[in-house]
Amino acid sequence: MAAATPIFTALAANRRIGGVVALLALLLAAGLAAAHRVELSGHAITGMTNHVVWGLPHVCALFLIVAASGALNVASLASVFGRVECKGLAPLSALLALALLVGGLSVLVLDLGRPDRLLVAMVHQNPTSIFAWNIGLYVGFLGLGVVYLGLLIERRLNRFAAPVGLAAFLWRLVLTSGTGLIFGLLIARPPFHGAMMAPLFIAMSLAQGGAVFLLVAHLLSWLGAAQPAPETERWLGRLLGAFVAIQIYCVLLLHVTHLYAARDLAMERFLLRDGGLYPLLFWGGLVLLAGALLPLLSRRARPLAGAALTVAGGLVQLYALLIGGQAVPLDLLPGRVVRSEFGDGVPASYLPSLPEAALGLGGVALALLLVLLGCRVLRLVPEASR
Amino acid sequence: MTPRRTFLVAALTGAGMATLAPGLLLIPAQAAAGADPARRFAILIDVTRCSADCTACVTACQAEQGWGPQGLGAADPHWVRKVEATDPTTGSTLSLPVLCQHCDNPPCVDVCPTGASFVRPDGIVLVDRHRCIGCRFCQMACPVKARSFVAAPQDDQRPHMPRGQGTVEACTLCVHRLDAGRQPACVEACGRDGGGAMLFGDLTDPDGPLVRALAARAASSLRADLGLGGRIRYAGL
Amino acid sequence: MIPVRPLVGLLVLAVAAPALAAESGCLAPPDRMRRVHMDLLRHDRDQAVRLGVQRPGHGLAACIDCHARKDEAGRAVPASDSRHFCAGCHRAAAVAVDCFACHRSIPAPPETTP
Repeated sequence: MAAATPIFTALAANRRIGGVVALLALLLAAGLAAAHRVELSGHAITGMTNHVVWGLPHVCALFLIVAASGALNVASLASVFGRVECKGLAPLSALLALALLVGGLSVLVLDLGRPDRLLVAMVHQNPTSIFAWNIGLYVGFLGLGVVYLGLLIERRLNRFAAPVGLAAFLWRLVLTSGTGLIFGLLIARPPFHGAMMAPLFIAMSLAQGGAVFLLVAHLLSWLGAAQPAPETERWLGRLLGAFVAIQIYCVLLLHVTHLYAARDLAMERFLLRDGGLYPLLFWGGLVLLAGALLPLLSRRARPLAGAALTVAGGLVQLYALLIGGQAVPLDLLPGRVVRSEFGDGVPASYLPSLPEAALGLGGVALALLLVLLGCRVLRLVPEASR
Repeated sequence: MTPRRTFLVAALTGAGMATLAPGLLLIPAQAAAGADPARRFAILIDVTRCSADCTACVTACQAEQGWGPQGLGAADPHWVRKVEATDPTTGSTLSLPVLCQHCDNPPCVDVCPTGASFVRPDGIVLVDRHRCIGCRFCQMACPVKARSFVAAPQDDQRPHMPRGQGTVEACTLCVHRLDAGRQPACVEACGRDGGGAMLFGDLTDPDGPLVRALAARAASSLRADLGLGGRIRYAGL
Repeated sequence: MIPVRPLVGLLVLAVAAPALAAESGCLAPPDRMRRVHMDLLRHDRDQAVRLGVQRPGHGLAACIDCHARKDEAGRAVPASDSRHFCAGCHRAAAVAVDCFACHRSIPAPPETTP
């Protein structure tokens, strides 16, 4: 069985790969064109406003970044937790983590008001900013990930993979906490503020990242790589089920604690019942996530269907959290009803525009292109047995 | 610049010249004093004298700083806005201008990744647009939504107030006026065209009109519960 | 690593600059301004914006007021026009000017100057 050292190979060229690459390249080009248009015309052509300052691009970027750290999990299982059967999938796991992070960061950067000033963010770092810390965490993760990937695919260096894998695993826990704390540290925004954001984001990353990994592994086997062993896949699926359950638990805990605070009741009513689209997305996402548990955990396991439901539910939940949390009116004068021509006291509306969707999808396309490129030029997918 | 180079350039260029960077000289006679770290400017707003139909402060700010509606709805900038606040029990309504509170502990400065949001030595919270990358994290962090993102190309800016697409902006407390010894435009306009509800002054001047007025009436900052120490104080809320 | 040549140049300029500059109204003679205007502007902008050190005549607005170029109709041309004072060199050198993303590139009409 898988206990033998797996033999890795590069993905051979074929028609299917060509087609997928062409499609992804098209999406990437559309994303870049959208970013360019926004840079020329300003964010006025997007749906983002001074109320909903982060929109669909950020939902996509956060999904990719969160999934990136979770995608590394399979490699961590092999190197840190000694799951031998995951060894064959470890290099792909590391590559996917890197690719997803690059895709997500690209979206974030291209959505900046002044993406041309990226260098400024590298040169001037404010030590109290969690954003600045995250820049370091992302760069460090990329560095660690590249080294880790190298150690995993170079047979002679395999023995060094375990310590680096452990470092990468610990690093990603900090990184995902940092990503969650971008929101958790916002004292001005009660939907986000609080320590809960860090564990919630870690749970999200384990669930979404694991799901993305299963889907991408299947995409690769459709493109000619070896099929993951069914028993390994079922085991990963069950683990994914546990992570999804933790995500659901964290989400519920977040809202239950808010519901207990009279101060936050109006906000919770908006997010869970009265807010129109956002409660719909919140409960819809939750149903999708809960629905993912069935195919993941039942006796007749179908990990792929569970993974697809997890990704869908995670995306929808993230949209409800991020956009819904910004749509909630701020409490300018506690105890008073406020109105202004700037929209004080009323929920903010947000309608994503085409360029935003294109930019977000472009990031996904970039991540997948990088995965395919890596699989074509590096020997990191297990050889298909004939 | 290395200390050695600093020393060498200084030695070579002789006394009376300060060196700042390679190829850069300063003539000290022209150096002026900057923002005074001993001062803390603040505004006291008497809400009882602020009427709902008056927008003198907003109009004055727009004229002074060169911002205004560009037909972008919620993406339009708002450095200062008039807010109606109704007490749900009594139905009584107040009107008040909301602007950057120039907090003592500004969350926008804490979160800014590049240090573009900063506190001047005299406590005024500003955006250094040369450093702003347009990430909008400060907008997420501000509890009164005092900051706006410039979402469209700009031209015909005021010479003292450069504004550009892709950066974040907010009330500057009219630093250009303060540095010239004048009052903020909104305060001046409120006194001239409005209800005279705004009083500008220095919190560190115990005998000044602002401190005396603050001693005479209860006044608080917006969202005082957050402990940010806003220096726009509202009396009569 | 001591950059000897620039330092000698600086020494000469440091002695000669104030006298030359006084005549033109610029901070330094043209050949020096061509090389260091960006450093002068960057230094003064950080001092002015972050520390509130305002030095009359050292800001970009002062440069613009003096160096404005006019079109046939006598109106000052903006930085997007190739006749603009900054555009000539910057286009030839293919160096983007970031200043005018926010700063006005033509003199202000008199009534808006406080």
